[in-house]
Amino acid sequence: MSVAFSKNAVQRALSAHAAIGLLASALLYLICLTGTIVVFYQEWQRIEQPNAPEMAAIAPDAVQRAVAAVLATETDKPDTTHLYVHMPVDGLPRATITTDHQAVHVGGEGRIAGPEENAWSEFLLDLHYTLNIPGLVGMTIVGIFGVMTLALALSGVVAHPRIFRDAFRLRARDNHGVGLADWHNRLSVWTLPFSLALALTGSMIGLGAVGAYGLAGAFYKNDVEAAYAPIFGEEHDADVRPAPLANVAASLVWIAQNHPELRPTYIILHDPGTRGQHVQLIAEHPRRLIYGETYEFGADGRYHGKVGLSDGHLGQQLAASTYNLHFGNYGGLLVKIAYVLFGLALTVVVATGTSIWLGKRERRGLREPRLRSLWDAVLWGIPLALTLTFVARVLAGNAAPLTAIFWVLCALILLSAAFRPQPRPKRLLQRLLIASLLASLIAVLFG
Amino acid sequence: MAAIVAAVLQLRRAWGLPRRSAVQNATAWALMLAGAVLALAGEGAWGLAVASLGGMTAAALLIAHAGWTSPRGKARASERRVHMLPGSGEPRHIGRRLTTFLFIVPLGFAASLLAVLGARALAGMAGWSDADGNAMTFLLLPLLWALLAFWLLMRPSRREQLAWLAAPAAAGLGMIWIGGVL
Repeated sequence: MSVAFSKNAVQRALSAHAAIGLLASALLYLICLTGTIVVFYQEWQRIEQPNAPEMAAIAPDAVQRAVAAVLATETDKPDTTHLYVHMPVDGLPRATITTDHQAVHVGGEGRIAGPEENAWSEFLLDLHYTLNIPGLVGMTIVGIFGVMTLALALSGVVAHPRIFRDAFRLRARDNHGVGLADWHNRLSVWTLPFSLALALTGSMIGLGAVGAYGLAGAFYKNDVEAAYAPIFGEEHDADVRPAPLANVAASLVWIAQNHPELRPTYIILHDPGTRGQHVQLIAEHPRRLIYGETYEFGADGRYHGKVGLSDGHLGQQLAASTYNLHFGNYGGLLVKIAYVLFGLALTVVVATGTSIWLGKRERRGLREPRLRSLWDAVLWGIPLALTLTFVARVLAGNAAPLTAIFWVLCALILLSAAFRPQPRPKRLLQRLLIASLLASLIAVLFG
Repeated sequence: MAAIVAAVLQLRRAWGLPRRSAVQNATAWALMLAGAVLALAGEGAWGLAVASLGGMTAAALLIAHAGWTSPRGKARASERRVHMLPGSGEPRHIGRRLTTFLFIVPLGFAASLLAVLGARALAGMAGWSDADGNAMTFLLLPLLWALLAFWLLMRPSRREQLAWLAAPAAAGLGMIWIGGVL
C-alpha cells in the first residue's frame, strides 16, 4: 500500500515532521520514557515499601474502624474535606487511607499499620503528568506534547509515502542511517494505533482543564465544576455542622449484595464528620475500559444512585475510558507488559527521530559535536538521572527531595555535555546507566 | 483477536509479493475490519483495545524476525533536507521561525478551542446532552489542534495560514453567539 501525495506535499510534510519533532524531542522523550516506566506504578509502590500489610480483600467493618481510627489521629488538625480509602486490588493488594493531611496503610483488621511511603512512585507519576510543574501549567504543557505527538504521527505518514508498503522491512544491520531510519519508521508504523490512542487520551487528560475553563466561560458562567458535573457528577453542598461519622461500611455491604461481580477500588468520604458528609464508592467493572462506576450513598449508608459512567451517556463512558486506555491498567499483567513494550517502542521512535536528523546533517558535512553531545545527554542522561533518583529514594528514604535531585542531575549532565562535547559522552553515560541500574537492584535487594 | 492477528499475517504476505495484488491487500484489510467489528460487538471498547494489542504484538514479532534475519546491506541513507536549521552561510530566519511557532502553538490552540466550543454550541442546539457535548469538546480539542498544526505547516504562505486560523475561530465564535442567542 502506498499513499499518493504530491512530491511537494511530501517534502512539506517532512519539514513539518522535523520541525515539530525537533521542537518537542527532549521533553517528549522524557514524557514517553516516564510513561513507559509508570505503567508499573502499582508494582513500584510495592517495591518501595515491601513491608506494608497486604490482603486480597478487607471486610466492611474493618474499613469503618480504619476510617474512624485515621480521623481520630487528626483531631488537632483542620477538618479534612475528603478522605479516600484505596481498597485492595490485584495489582496493589493494600488498603490505604488518604486525607488532606496524611496517607496511611491499614491492616486487614482495620488498624493503622504505618505511613504510606511511595515518594518515588509519586515523583515518577508527577513527572509524567506535569513535568513536576505545579498547578495546571505542567499538565497543560504535557497535554500540548500529546497534541504534538498526534501531529507528528500524521505528518510522519504523509512524509513517508512507502511507510506502509515497507512496513515489514527492517534493515537492522545497515549502516549510515538506513538501519536507524528503518527502526524509526517500522516501530512508528506498527505502534501507530497505540501511539494515536495514547497521544489522544494523554492530550485529553492534559488539556482537560483548559477545555473545562473554555466550556465554563462559554456555557456555565465561569463555573468550572459545572462543566465537569454532567460527566463525572456534581459536588454536593457542604454543611460543616458536626455529625456522627458516616456509615462507610454500608456502601461495601450494598455493593457486595447487589453487584457481587464488581470490585470496589476506592471509597471517597466527602466532608467526614459533618452533616454534609456523603460517600462515593468507585467499583471496577470487569472487561470494561472505564476506570469504574461511581455509586453514591448518604451518611446513613443508604444508596442514592450512580453517576452513569458505566451505562449513562456515551460522553460519560468515553471520558471515563480515557484513563485506563492511557495507563494500560485494564487487562492485568499481560496488558501492562504490552504497554511497556509499545511504550518503549514509542520512546525509541522519538529518540531515533532526532538522531536521524543529526545523522543526515553529518552526512552533508555539517558536523555539530555540541548538538550531538547534548542529544546523547538527553538520551542516556535522563534514564541515568531517573535511576540515580531511585537509588537516592532507596538509600536516603521517603523524605529525599527526589524532584530536586532529578532536575539537578539532568541540568548537570546537560551542562557537562554542552561544555565538553568531545569525546562524545554516549559511551560514558551508557556505562554509568548500567552501573546505576545494578546499584538500584542491589539497593532494593539489600537496602 | 484471531482475525486481527490473521490480518497482520495476510498483510505481511500481501506486501511481500513481487507485484501488488489488490485482492490480497483487500483480504487483509477486510480481515482487519472484521476483527475490529467482532471485538467491538463482543466485548465493546475493551475488546477492541485488547484485540489491537494482539495485532500489534503479532506485527512486532514479524518485525523482530525481519530485523534478526536481515543481511548487512549497502543501501545509502536518505539525505532529504528538512530545512529545520540553516546550512552554513544561510540566514537564520529567527523571526520567521518564531512567527511559525506563534501560529502553531498559541494561535492554533485559540482557534481550535473556539472551533470546538462552536461545535459544542451546535451540539447543544441539536439537542445533545451536556455530558455528550462536553465530552466531545474534550475529545475534539486535541484532535482539531493537531490537524490544524499539521495543516498550517503544510501551507506555503502566511496569508493562507492566517486564513486557516481565522476560519475555524470565526465559525466557532459565530456558533457560540448563535447558541447564546437561541
